Parts: sequence; structure tokens; C-alpha cells
Amino acid sequence: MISFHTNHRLLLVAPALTFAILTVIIAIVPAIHENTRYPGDPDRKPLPADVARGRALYMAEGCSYCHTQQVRVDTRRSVGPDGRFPPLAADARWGRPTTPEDYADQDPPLLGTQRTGPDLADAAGRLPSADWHYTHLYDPRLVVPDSRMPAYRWYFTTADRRTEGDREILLPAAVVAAQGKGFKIFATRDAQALVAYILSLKTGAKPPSPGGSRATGGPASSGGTAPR
Amino acid sequence: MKIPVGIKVFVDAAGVDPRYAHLVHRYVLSAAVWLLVGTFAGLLDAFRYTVPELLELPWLSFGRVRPMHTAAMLWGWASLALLGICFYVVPRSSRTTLHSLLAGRIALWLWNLGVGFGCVAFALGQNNGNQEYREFPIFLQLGPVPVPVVPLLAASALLTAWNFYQTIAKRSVRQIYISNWFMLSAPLFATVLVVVGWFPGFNRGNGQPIVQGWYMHNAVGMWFTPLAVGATYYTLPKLLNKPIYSYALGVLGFWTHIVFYTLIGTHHYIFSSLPSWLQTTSIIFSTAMMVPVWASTGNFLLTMRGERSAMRISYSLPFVFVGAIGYGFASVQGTAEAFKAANEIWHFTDYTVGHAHIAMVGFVSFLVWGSIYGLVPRVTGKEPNVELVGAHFWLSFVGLVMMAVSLCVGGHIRGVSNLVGEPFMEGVRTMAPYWVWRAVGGSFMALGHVIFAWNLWSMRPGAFVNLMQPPADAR
Repeated sequence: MISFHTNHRLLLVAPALTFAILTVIIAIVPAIHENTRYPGDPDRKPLPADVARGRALYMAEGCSYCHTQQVRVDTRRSVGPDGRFPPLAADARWGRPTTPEDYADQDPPLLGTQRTGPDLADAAGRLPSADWHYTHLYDPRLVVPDSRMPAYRWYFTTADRRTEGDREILLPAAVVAAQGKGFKIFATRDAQALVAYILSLKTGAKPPSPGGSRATGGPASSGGTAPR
Repeated sequence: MKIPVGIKVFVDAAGVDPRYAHLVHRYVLSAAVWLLVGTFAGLLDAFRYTVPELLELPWLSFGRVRPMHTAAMLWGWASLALLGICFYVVPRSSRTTLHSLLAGRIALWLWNLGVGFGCVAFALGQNNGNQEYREFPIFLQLGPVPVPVVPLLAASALLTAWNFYQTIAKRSVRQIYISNWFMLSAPLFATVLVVVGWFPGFNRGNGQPIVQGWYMHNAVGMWFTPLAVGATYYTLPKLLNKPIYSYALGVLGFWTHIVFYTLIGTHHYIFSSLPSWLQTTSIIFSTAMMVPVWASTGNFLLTMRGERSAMRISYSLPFVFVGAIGYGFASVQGTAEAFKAANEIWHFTDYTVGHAHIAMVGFVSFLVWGSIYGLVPRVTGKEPNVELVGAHFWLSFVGLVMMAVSLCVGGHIRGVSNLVGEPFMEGVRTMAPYWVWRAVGGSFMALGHVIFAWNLWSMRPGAFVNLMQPPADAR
């Protein structure tokens, strides 16, 4: 009789093989199936260079540790007049629920696991002003007094250090007055790339239709099926 | 409160090959160094919730320190400490010597270098897509030079699996003790995790969250949990000098663990865009998970039943006791979090962070500390100062309770605030005092960890062990 109590060869192979087979069933096959079912936009253009750079910086700085890009859907309630499930009550403020098509073109998608700061799936829809984002990145507490976000001051520079292409940002009058007349801060190219990426995050009112999504850095605004 | 005072445990370090004693000790000592790195990384970020301007350095900014904290704690501290315990338990319970000391040393260095390069990568802003617990890039780019990170960890896990297998194969007892089931399997589970987790093909699009849920659940559930449970199946009977309550429960726990844990991953994505059948499957098996959890927790607690006097005089048993209860508590919490009504409130909040700390500290770390204090003196021949062990216990325990209660309570209140539609910033203001308490609890734990590191240093193999000649059959 084969026994795990005495057969070390069996004990080496059987548990690991069980884990591997279950992994194929529960993770690998469903993942490949999802990506086959939602292949993304066949005519997708590559991300604009600054948006791609901004997305890379977003990951480098670990933005996803506090910001989700995932609006949850409440499948327990009945579908609305548009034939779609409504967002979860707690998530309604962040826009329409995100769908598989929203993530189809992303490698990897940045859903996030914690929401210490706001959801960014529709960041550009809620806050379309680039000027706001520059001031906010330079010092979040200038525009959101109780914010806990780090100030990304090293993405900005001063008048005497600025290089070609750096862009002046708006500062509250009180800050300029405190620093002396003529105090100016400039957004570096990296800051501009990061803001370009944030402003590419748009879900819009209507979910995407099947078969594809736009070439944006984030959740798309055209294409789609009802969330399952 | 009475500080648990230990008695001198029976020291059976006599006759131990000093090179073997040094190997076991180096594993746990490396782990302790990572524990300190991870603790101060965590503490830095914890205080930033109260003082966001703290230490404005690009390479130590919040989002770069955050993966350093989790990687140093998971892949540095808990992994190496558990492996060190395995290097003791596998040969001892097989009544033989370790198959290869050299392979043990190489595996240690590969692992240390892998975690070290990985943390450098985070400081340089090289992060594998912020994918929880698999943020290590495959290669760290130092200018034009690619330095391997993940391949070093995978090579180390495989080398260790081979080393344990060969040790168990030459055992001088017929039966393979249950601890070895967990300890032989876990490095192979880890290898599967690494291969699937970093495989480029399916980690994109809507398939990525499926793999991510599977990965982050099983990085904990198929690595730390089996190793910590396996270690306790050895340590607890050893310390109490009596057999485990039920060996059959251990076997039941082992197999149900492998089947049920593997299928749970998607419970990290309830209400998401992932297929409903996956979400439902994960909720069902999150409930089924209670079987292996209580098979182990119940087994440990029933083994400890009626052993109060031993608990009072041992300095390692209280850690095992807290760890066994921590396992049950963290798991019940995890099951509850999978239910939709609770997930709606708790998901995305600090409740999850509190849960993660109960799991990795209250369960894994406490069992690790119990095993280290209980087993390491038996190989190095040196015991720590019992008052300092008591200080470590109470600082860690009180600190953890402060942290876990504040995060879970605050997270729940913030979740309800979101649910009833209060402004988002109201939730941030609500959390403010709880974040202070978390940092205070973290400071208690940090002090406890410093004392632990000192205790471990005081247990280093000394003259007593070094006087012994290596046995003729040692390699």
C-alpha cells in the first residue's frame, strides 16, 4: 500500500503536483480565458510617450499602494434601465463600475488593494485641471488641507535650476508672499508626464462596448458589456 | 501581570556539529536583521500618516518604503526565520544529520542577496507593477548591468527543497513526521508561486487580477502558513514533552490546506470585474478554509490544555500560545472579510492592514519566536536572558493589540462612513487618531524587535559548541 507516512518520493511529488494542478484550474486557465475573451482594441495605438512615462513613474513611486483604479459593481441589486448593475454604494462617487474591457489593454492593470486616497479610475473626469494636479503633486496640502499624501517636491524645480521644457505651476498667493515676491516653481518633464498619465484616466458615463477599449493609460471610455 | 519566567530548558546541544549550529543560527540571525529593516521601514511610513512631510527623500518616499517594509518582513524576516527552524526540525525529526551544510549556506546567501537586491530596486523606483508581494523585479538594473533578484530566490528555494528531500530520504526512522510534510512541500509551493507569479504571458489585462488574487493569497497561505504550522507541530510537543493531541487531525489539516487555500485567491476581488463564478468559488472555499485552520489551531490548543504550569515556567510556550490563537483569529477574520456584506465595508480600508498584521505578527511571527526561543538553545547551547524574553513578549503583544485594534476599528468606521456617503475626506479625518495609535503600537513592537535581536545574538553558538569536534559523518 502506498503511504505518505513512509514514502518520501510520494510526499515530494503529490502535494506540489496537487497545488500546481489546482493553480492551472483556478488561476492560469481563467486568466488566459479572460484575456482571450477581452483581447482589447485590435487597432490600439501605443500610449503617447509622456503618458507611458507617467504610468511608469506611477508604478515606481508605488501610487497603487494608496490609490485604486477599480470601481466596484453591486451584483446583488437589480440592473438599471441601461441593463447594467449599479456601482457599490460606497463606490458610487468614483463613477461607473470598471469592466474587463477597461483593463484589457493594460500590462499590468493597476487595480490596487487599498484606498487610503481617492480612486483614480476616473481621475481626469473628476479633476480635469492640469494646474490643480501640479499644485497638488508639489504639495497636496495646498489644495486639500487634510491630505496625507506625500509631497513630490523633487518632481519640481526652481527658476534658477529650471531647464528647457519645465512648466510654471500655480501657487497660492500666501505661499508666494511667504517666500518673497517673484517666487516661482516649475514642473519638470517627469511631473508633466505623471500629470499626463493622471489626465488619461477617464471612464466616462458609458461603459465600453465589446471588443475593445481606447488607447489610454487607464480605464477606457468606449466599448463594453455589462459587468458580470 | 506576571512576566513569564523561563527555567533552563534541557540543553541537548552537546555533540552538535558546530558548523551546523552556526548554520541554523545564521539563518535566524539574518532573519532578525531583516526584521529590523522591515520594522523601521514600516515605522517610517506609519508616522507619515500623521506627519506626511517626514524625511522627504526620493528614494525613501512612502511608496518606495512600503514595498521595502512588506518584502523585508515577508521575504526577509519570516521566510529566513522559518527556513532556519526547518534546518533544525527536518534533520532532528528524521533522526539524522543535514544532507548538505554547504547547500544550506549557499541557499542562505542566495536568499539574502535576492532580498537585498530587491530592496535596492525599490529604492531606485524599480517595482514590478505594484503587484502586492511580487514587487521584486526579475532583474535589478544597476545602470546597464542587470542583477538577478527573483532567480536567486527561486534557486534558493529549489536548493533547499533538494536538501530537505535528501535529508528526509536518509532518515533513520520509518515514519516521516508531519512537520516534514509541510517543510518539504513549502519550498516546492514557493517555486510554483515564483514561476506563475512572474510568468509574462497571462499577468496582464483582466487576467492579471485573477493571478494576483491567487498569488497574494498563496504567497502567505502556501509558504508562511505551512512552514509556521509545520514548525509548531514539532516545537509544541517538544516543549511540552508529550505527543500532539491528534496526529490524524494534522494529516487532515495538511491535505485540506492544499486544496482549500489554493482556490480562495479571488476573495481579494469581491465586487470586481472578475467572473462571478470565481468570486463565488472563493467565498465558498474561504469558509471551507476553517477546516484546516481549526484542525491545526484546535490541535495546538488541545495539546496545550492542562499545561498551565508549563506555560508559567516556559519562556517560549507563551509565544506559541499567542501564535496558535493568532492563527485561528486571523483566519476567522479572513473568512469574514470574504463575505459580501463585510467586504463592502472593510475592503480597501485599514481593516485589511490590521488583519495582515494579526496574520504576519500575531500568527506567523509569534510561532516563529516560540520556535526560535524553544529550539535554538538546543543547538547553540546558549539560552537568552529570560527577563529580556519577557520584555520582548509583552512589547510585541501589547504593541500588536494596539495596532490591530486601532486599524480594524478605525477601518470599520471609515468603511461605514464611505458606505453612508459621507465626503471622502471625512473618512481621512476619522482615521487620523487611529493612525497615531497604530504608530504608537508599532513603536512598542519595534522596541520588542530590537530586544529580540539582542536575545538572538546572546544565543549565538559559543565556546561550548565550538569545543565539540564535528562528528565523522558530518559533511
